[in-house]
Amino acid sequence: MQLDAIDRLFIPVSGDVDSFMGSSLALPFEFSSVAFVDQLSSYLMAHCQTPYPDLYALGFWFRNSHIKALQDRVMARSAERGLYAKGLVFQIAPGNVDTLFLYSGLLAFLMGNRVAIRVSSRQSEQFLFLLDVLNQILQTQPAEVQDRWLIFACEHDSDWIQQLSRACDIRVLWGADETIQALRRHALRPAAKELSFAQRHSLTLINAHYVLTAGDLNLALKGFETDIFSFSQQACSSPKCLVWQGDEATVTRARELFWQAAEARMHADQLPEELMIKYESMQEMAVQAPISITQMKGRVFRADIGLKDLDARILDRHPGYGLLLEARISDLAELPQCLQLHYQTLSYLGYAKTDFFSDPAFRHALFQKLDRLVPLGKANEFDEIWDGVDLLHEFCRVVRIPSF
Amino acid sequence: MIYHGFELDAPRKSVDMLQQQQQLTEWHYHHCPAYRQILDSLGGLKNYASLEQLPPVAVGLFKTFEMRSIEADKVFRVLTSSGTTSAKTSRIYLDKETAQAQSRALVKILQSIIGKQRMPMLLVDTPLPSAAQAFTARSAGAQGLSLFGRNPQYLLDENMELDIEGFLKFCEQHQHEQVLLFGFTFMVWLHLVQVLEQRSISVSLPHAVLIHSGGWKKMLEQAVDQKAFKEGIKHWLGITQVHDFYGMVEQTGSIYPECQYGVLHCSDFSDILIRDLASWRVCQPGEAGLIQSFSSLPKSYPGHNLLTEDVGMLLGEDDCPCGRKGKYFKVLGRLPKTQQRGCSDTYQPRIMAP
Repeated sequence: MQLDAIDRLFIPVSGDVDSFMGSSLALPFEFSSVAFVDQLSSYLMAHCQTPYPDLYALGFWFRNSHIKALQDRVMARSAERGLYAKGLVFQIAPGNVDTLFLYSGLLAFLMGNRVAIRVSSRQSEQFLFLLDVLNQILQTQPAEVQDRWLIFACEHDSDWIQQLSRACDIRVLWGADETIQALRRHALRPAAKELSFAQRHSLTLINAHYVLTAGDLNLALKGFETDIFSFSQQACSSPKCLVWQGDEATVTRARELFWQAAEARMHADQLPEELMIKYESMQEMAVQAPISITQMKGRVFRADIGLKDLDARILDRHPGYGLLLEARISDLAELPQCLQLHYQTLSYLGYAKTDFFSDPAFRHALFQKLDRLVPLGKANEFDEIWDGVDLLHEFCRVVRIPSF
Repeated sequence: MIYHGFELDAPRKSVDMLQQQQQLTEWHYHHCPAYRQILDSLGGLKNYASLEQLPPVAVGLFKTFEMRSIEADKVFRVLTSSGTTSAKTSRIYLDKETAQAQSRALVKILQSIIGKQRMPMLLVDTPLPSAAQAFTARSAGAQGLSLFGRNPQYLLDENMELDIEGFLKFCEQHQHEQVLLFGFTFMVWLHLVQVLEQRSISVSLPHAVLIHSGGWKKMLEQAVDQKAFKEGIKHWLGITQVHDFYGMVEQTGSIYPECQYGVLHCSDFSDILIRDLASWRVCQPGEAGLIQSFSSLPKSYPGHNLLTEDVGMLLGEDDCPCGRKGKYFKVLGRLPKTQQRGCSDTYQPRIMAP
């Protein structure tokens, strides 16, 4: 491949891009692939718990037993079919969640693909540390593992993006809507496929009655903090709205109790520029829709909004860094028709499975508006099924085999 | 010594400023829909018991929304921030009344620094664009100042090249009299001081006054602080009376000038509070926080009470040895930008609302 200069080629360190383009594909979950992921996972779990909890989470997700579970799930469906790697998987990763590129990258790799990843030019310390670890472990791997990785940073109009788009079998785009549109100028081969993960929004649903009767809220609050403070509340899966369910009096009491307990736990530390952007964004939202600001200082800025007024115009102005719009519904049954857009993740507190699943009509209506339902605290956990797409399935080719 | 425009001491100032702010808040509530929405989100219009209670508008909103309190056909001039360091620019809508109030205040404030007489004047800038509709903060500043000059002369051509012969001739002619120089801090440094330094030409203008303004960000990038700036001016131009001023396009007119003791002053047209954003508490003197800036001038747009992005520190009130009444303070710098929001990348600027 003849290419212009780029911002930075992280992997391979040798700079040998031709080996990558010529590398052979592996079988899904081939021994050498699994062994590599296992080493990386063990290293991250052993070294990252304190300084880089996001990397620990990455290591934990790819722990050996979980890889086995993934493998079993994939292989269970392959009785009369052959599963093979797709080929070259080219990913363009976002800047706001700096571990995401490796979750989907490792999945593509485990399925046997060549993996090319363009990472954001916004590189955090955690990100650079991760690449360093990845590189060091790769150096110890056999060529068939090493050669299947290419990681670089470049401008969106770079030659690299154009050429890899032309060469790849599947292109995976993560990013803001306008970024994705801009990247689509680079054509794919006719047979190639594209997956795009555009701007999405998420919310949390809390049963007010549960809050008042649960007793100890600490576990719930810990989950709540994990959901809203991970990735600076800027991931698509970070909840930006908190929906309270219950009658007015119950919700009022539950909110009071919840916020009192929550604020007692939170660190007040925050950069002034983050507080400033929250202040500014809150006023921007006020210009866009009727909101009632209840908290304009501290770790979590808050405003009340009618769920029916909450649309993309408001949510697109959400800056992250700890800001919540709070809404109320009386009954769970109201939820689907109140949601004005197709949300990605709903994380919930105080509900049982039957609350969501016993009424088929409700369930159907709800999942018209949602791609993901998880308990509070799990909103930002990676999932191989993302935005309604089964990534493992997308990263492989299914061959019809006759039953001889 | 009494300085006109800096006469109100704390007891009188607090009453006056609160009354003006209450009136302006009511005016804009009834005339600017965006401002009304913001106030409504905070519980609506109230009778405010102190300046502290008046909710400031984040200065960034003038970059996002059309914030005006007059009909479109009453717009006499639109000021825009020069936008050298930011992709987005503020748009400030002026009618004749507000524009006049701004230039009157500017004249009064500057007279306290340079006196009433008109003197020969140099503008360290390029000649003004002829289009009268779109004014940048730079051209508005230069135009305001030129009221003080006799035959104001522009030192730079359209390529930002210094007219060195014209400059030397001016210096020779006016060596023994009072002259006025005005320019943006960075332009004075880059296009005048550094050009003289490169050519090893020093001149002597001992009776001159230099008024300059504009952020220090670019200066600090070149490792030039206030002290180094003043020393450079003294060495290459022989000027010792150098006055910075702090101001913003969103509050043109009610600028905060630097007195001979090197601190910035509120005038009778303006006031500040320093805020700790995490707690929204008003900071004590000597404590750094974000500058909330009040101005009694803006009537055509709701810019009377702003939360700026500048970090400052209150130094005292009514007792600066220069004799000016009111608060005095210093500016410590601007907040850095936060990372972009959403699942987005550094590639595209954020899309603005119409």
